[in-house]
Amino acid sequence: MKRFEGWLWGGGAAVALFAVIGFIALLGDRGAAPPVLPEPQGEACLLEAEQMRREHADWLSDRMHTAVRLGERDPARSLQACVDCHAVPAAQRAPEQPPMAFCRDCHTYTGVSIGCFQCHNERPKGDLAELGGVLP
Amino acid sequence: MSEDASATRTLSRRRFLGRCLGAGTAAAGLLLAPGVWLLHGGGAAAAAADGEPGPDRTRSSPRSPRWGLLIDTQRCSAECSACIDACQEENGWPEPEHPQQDPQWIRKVTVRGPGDSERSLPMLCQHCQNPPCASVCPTRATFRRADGIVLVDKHRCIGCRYCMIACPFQVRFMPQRPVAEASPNHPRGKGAAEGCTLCVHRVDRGQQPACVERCAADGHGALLFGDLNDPGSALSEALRDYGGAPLRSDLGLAARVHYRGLS
Ligand code: HEC
Ligand code: HEC
Ligand code: HEC
Repeated sequence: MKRFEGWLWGGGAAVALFAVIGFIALLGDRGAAPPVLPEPQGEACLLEAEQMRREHADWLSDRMHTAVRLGERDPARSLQACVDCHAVPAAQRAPEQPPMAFCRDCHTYTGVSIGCFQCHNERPKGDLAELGGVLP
Repeated sequence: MSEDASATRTLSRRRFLGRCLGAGTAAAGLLLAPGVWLLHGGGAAAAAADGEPGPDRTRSSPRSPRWGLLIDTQRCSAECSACIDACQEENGWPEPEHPQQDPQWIRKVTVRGPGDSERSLPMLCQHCQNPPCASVCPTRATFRRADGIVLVDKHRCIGCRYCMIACPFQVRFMPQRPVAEASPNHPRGKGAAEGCTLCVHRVDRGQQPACVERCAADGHGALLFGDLNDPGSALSEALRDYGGAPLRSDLGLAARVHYRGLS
């Protein structure tokens, strides 16, 4: 029994340390509520919202391959379609808010960064028409 | 005795192989985890059932279109820039500040022929059948679609500029500054190679490229777009009846853009 006492004390200390650190980590996490995302336009998403939330990265990647390399463009499933439903219209936008705050807000929360809108247009078609932009 | 032994051995080997096959087929449909199949039995059939059959655009066939352009240099006038304006509006590239560096998907050049004859013609991506830009691309971002259009998949482009060096016509460009206004027709970005797409987004909708449409409306009707694989198309007929040749045919690039009235 004596032989194991040192091990027992050591193990106990390690467990206690984990518990304390975990508790502190949980305390720090209390403020991180999921963001409230801007309200989308339209009736429903292209997939079930559940599924889209989980699979949109792969889904978009597949679409960009099929559209660009295989030539199967589909305006209803393009990135512009996401923009048309999910962008915040110019009239309702706060000064520093990008049109696609919908994507940005959740990505900030989940620690993702995307560069899609460095090239892709992120203003909905409605805004473009007001600005006299070219429409496809 | 020895014969008997060999007979049983042969039999057992056969049976063994047969069992292996059986086990293999069973394993082929084996579910490793929910949604993860070692080999999904009805895969091909299921895939065919949920998508429209549609044309196989990954492989070219003699029946798939082969888009081409015929530029009549006898009609094109040096003062006219209708095609350039149309391209800028459609694809959202601005007036170049530094013509040696900034993108000019389509530009007018003047060529001097035998004697003192001069011809003005638009220069744009020649959509080669053997595109040197695609051969040198280290990421296969530049590729030729089955219908002959040479494109940059900007999602793969790493901005190495090999294609700009390989192109003998200098029609590949690299935006050096952040792009101010994103066009919904064609996404562009600093550091991704670009060039004429033959208005692939319009062609896939069944329309003509913007330059061709504008040249017919406001210019001199010098551009003709069509399907080189269709012997009955206006383009094929014009090429047959009046001729036209790609630039620098000595390079063996088999460009899809043809010029008439240069020789
Ligand atoms: C360097 C510029 C650039 C960036 C960055 C970029 N794209 Fe693209 N994207 C393009 C171009 C060019 C096309 C082709 C458009 C066409 O020909 O119609 C395209 C087409 C697409 C398409 C198919 C056409 C459509 O709208 O459905 C999808 C989907 C797409 N991109 C998604 C994305 C996503 C997702 C990202 C971010 C991960 C992204 N892109 C980043 C340039 C870019
Ligand atoms: C026709 C309009 C429309 C289009 C197009 C559309 N969406 Fe949606 N999207 C919605 C609506 C409406 C909801 C809310 C659905 C719900 O909560 O049941 C939603 C929900 C979502 C969600 C879940 C949001 C959450 O609350 O967690 C994601 C992620 C999403 N969309 C991404 C996309 C992407 C990516 C695209 C483009 C590929 C896209 N959507 C295209 C209308 C659209
Ligand atoms: C509900 C939260 C949420 C919303 C809303 C959301 N995303 Fe995401 N997105 C994620 C998460 C989490 C990931 C990382 C998981 C993954 O890669 O599958 C991700 C990953 C991505 C990626 C892949 C990034 C990479 O580096 O691989 C792209 C592209 C993307 N999102 C595009 C969008 C676009 C466009 C929108 C707006 C239409 C959007 N997302 C809205 C949560 C969201």
